[in-house]
Amino acid sequence: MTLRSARTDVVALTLVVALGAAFVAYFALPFLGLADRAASDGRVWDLATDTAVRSALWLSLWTAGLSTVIAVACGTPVAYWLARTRIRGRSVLDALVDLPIVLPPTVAGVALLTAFGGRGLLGEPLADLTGFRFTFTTAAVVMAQVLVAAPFYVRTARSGFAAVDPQLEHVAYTLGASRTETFLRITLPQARGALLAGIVLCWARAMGELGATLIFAGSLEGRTRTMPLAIIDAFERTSLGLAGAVSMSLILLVVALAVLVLFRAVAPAEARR
Amino acid sequence: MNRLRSSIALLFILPFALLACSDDEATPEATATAATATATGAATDVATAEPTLASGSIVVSAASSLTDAFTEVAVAFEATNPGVTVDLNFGSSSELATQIVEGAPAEVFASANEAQMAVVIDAGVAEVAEIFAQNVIVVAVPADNDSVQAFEDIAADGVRLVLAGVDVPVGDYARRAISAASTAGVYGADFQSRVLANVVSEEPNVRAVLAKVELGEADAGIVYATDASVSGDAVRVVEVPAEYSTPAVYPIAAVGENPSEQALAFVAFVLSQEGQAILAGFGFAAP
Repeated sequence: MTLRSARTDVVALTLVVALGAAFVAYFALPFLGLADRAASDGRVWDLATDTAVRSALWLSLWTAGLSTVIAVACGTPVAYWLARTRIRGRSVLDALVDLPIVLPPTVAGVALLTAFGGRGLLGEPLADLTGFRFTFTTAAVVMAQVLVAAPFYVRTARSGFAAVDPQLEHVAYTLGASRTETFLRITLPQARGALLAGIVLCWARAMGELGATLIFAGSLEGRTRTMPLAIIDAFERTSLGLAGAVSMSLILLVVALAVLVLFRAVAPAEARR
Repeated sequence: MNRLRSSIALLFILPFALLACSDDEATPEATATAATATATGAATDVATAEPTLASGSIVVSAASSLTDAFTEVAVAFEATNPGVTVDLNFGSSSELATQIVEGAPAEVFASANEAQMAVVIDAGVAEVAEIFAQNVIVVAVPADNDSVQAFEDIAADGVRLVLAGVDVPVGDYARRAISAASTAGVYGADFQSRVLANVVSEEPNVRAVLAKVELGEADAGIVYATDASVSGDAVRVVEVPAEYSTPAVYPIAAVGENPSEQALAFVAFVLSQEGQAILAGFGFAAP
């Protein structure tokens, strides 16, 4: 290595480190700001034990969990098929999977109403026949989350499956493994990293879902008011205001972080079996 | 087979169709979040008028219920003051008050109640406010839905009622009217608890409440008379008896220690005969 190239390295390294540090600072500062505001408000603990906040947090946790389970159960076959199919117009299908990601959540909420609302394509006949309406129910919360969050799982899982060499699957078949066995013992473990990343993305997006939920499910404590909706509501409350909303945001972030860390700690052990 | 094919085709076309028609149904989107609109008037028409104000632009933060009225007020103001641009920022009064206290740029604040104006004045961000309009609350009902015919029907079994959140001004006025009617006892002492049991959603602002009614998802929603008049044929209005409802008052203030001359002129314009006439056209009562 010449002296000159070493000097180039130093310059490049300094530049890269500076850019990286600026990036990290850019993301860290807003969170520090939140923590700082919440600390000066001093109500974080009171709010963490408040029944309305707890009910919102619990609702968020289980609905986002259920939405993720639905995304994995129904999205995995779709993702695998998208990764393996050779049919024409595949790029159009890929784009369709991404479409809900582009859709502003509020529009996603309106779209859900046009399909499942009381005057929707499916919602109206359903309401006429059974009297049941999805709007304003907890089911609507889950539906909104699935529509908005599941594409994150499907597209990540699709890339994961696409990266698994089809030759490996063929070798397994020639060795006498069934399709199911091959999928479970070859394909799934190979795509594990991507699937886990997809699950995390999907769950996180579902936890943060606000716009579609507000339009399609409304906001009522204990039934449809998830944590993001409760934070918006707190923002309106003269008794809580911005400081209360900030404190609640911090609670949401801490709980989400705990769940994600726990998930990453547990997930590899699950896959080792 | 053909049917299956066309339904599959429909499935693929549907998302695009939804995107295409989202414009017509964008009301909830525009209302759920603070909407920003810029009113650019036909300033050139009145070039003959002596320009008294320095040119520039001002941000007017106004309550969602003022969306239509203030859009027109701004156009008229710009027409009389060439060179001055009014940027309108609509949202719930509480949201706007928080933004202003947090230092969001706004030269004028028009609130739908005195409580949120007090937030801004107590923070020292504005000094004096003047009442410029009044509004009353009504029950908005989807035109094709006859489950609510009178105010007392909002307590009927199975009525899906939507209110604005507890501290959103219109939500506060609604709850006070319900409580007053309950205390009066004419609909039974349990009126309030029966009504509150019917609440299926507490929306962040008045337009979001109205959207739920327009979409036919709610059987009834309590909104301002002015909002209900905006939605036209889609919504039928059921009056809240005057003895139970307090009129909503709208205060306006120029923001800042030394409000700009454009801001002061805008406030004066709203209070002027011309401004008041526009507001009256949208159903607002004079203070």
